[in-house]
Amino acid sequence: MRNLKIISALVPSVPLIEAKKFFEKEKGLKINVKVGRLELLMEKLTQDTDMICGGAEYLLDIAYARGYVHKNARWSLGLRRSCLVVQKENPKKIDSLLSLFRPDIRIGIATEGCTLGLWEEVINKSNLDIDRLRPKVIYLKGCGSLIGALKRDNVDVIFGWTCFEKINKNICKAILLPDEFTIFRSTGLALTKFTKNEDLALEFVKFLLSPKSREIYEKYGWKR
Amino acid sequence: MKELKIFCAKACSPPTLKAAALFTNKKGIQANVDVCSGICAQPSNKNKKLNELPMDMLDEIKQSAIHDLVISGAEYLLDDAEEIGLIKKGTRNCIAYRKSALIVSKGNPKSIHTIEDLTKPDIRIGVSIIDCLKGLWEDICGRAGLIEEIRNNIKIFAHGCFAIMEAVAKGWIDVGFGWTAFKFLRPKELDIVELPRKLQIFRATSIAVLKFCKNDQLANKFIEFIKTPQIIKEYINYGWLSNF
Repeated sequence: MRNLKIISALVPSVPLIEAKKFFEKEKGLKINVKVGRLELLMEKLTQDTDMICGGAEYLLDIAYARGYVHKNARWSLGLRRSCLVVQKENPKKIDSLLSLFRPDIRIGIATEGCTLGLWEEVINKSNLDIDRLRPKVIYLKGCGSLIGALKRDNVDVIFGWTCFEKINKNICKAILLPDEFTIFRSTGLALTKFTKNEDLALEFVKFLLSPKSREIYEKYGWKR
Repeated sequence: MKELKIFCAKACSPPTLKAAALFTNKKGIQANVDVCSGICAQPSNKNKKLNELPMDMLDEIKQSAIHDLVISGAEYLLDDAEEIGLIKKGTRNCIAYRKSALIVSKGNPKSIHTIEDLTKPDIRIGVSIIDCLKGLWEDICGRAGLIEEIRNNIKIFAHGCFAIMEAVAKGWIDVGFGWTAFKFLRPKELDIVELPRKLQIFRATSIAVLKFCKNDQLANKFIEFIKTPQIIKEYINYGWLSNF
């Protein structure tokens, strides 16, 4: 039986896994998706990995610079829109960037992964005082830690993506910001330089870019 | 004479050196500025692999372990530093901001005027994968809806500001993603192409006290000094913004 192996960042794995199930059924094959913090997965990258899926282009830029992936065998599976994400019932009634300056608000940001530096760009775009906001920031690792902190009530709000609500309806609520203060980052997929399954991998890419897969990605909040 | 050691990202160093000299003159405290000597400060590293060399300026600070203060060109670097305990919590202050722009060689020979021009087949683009420019190209192109089109034209994934400036100046690439302030660093070789407001990204240049600092009072005195209007003006003279 032919197989493909993909390493993927946590949240982008949700539509990827749903889409791959259709492809597996159609083709009669198996696609293994290893999920985790992409930076760690890349450190332990093995030669049997066919593809890498990351939640921001810079992660695949690094994969290319390290010689893991081809420069021209890389595709965007969709864009995610930034927003504030709060607990489902929004108990602190956060409705704008100004709400973050209230003394009782704890803010979660990630120091790695797809939301790296996102908070700074949103705050600076809005011309709000970053020095006043920073003391309220709690530093976490990646999307999984951000959502976990929200779930455990360790933070009141995180800088994240609208898809967090679609994927974790019982935990998260997305608070949209005006377009001017919104960042879009791409979920990318790249072929590794050492894949021995190039034809099959390219077939899977074609499927991921098809209208069927697009529907899945859009259901979870990605935009193409 | 009392002494302060400041570690500064290289592209932020021209106004910082002036600030340090003024501080020494006015306060009688010697302020010495060291700039990155690692990968981020090398003029050309287009043939080197990222994993062969230190990842960023934080590695260099950790290795030398002698500095009192750090000045960095993006918050995420100091977020990382704070998380690993390299800087002292609550000591970080924003000095001023840099605004994103397209960097072209003097005279703009390829007539690049808009983000859409970067999608033309003959355009060679450079982006940085470390330090203050990390991920900048995506945040501009994502807002423009041109990720795929522009990525196809990226020819150099460089290591930091200086590599981007040099690649443009030497004609290895036609355009780089950078800051408007770059024009002040190499005015004879570089021009900038401003982006429309909706595509602009702003990142802060901030200062913080390092865990190696043994005289916090002195370090705080320098932070207070660097935030005075007189010193902010020095940064503005080099293309930084205090508000926008």
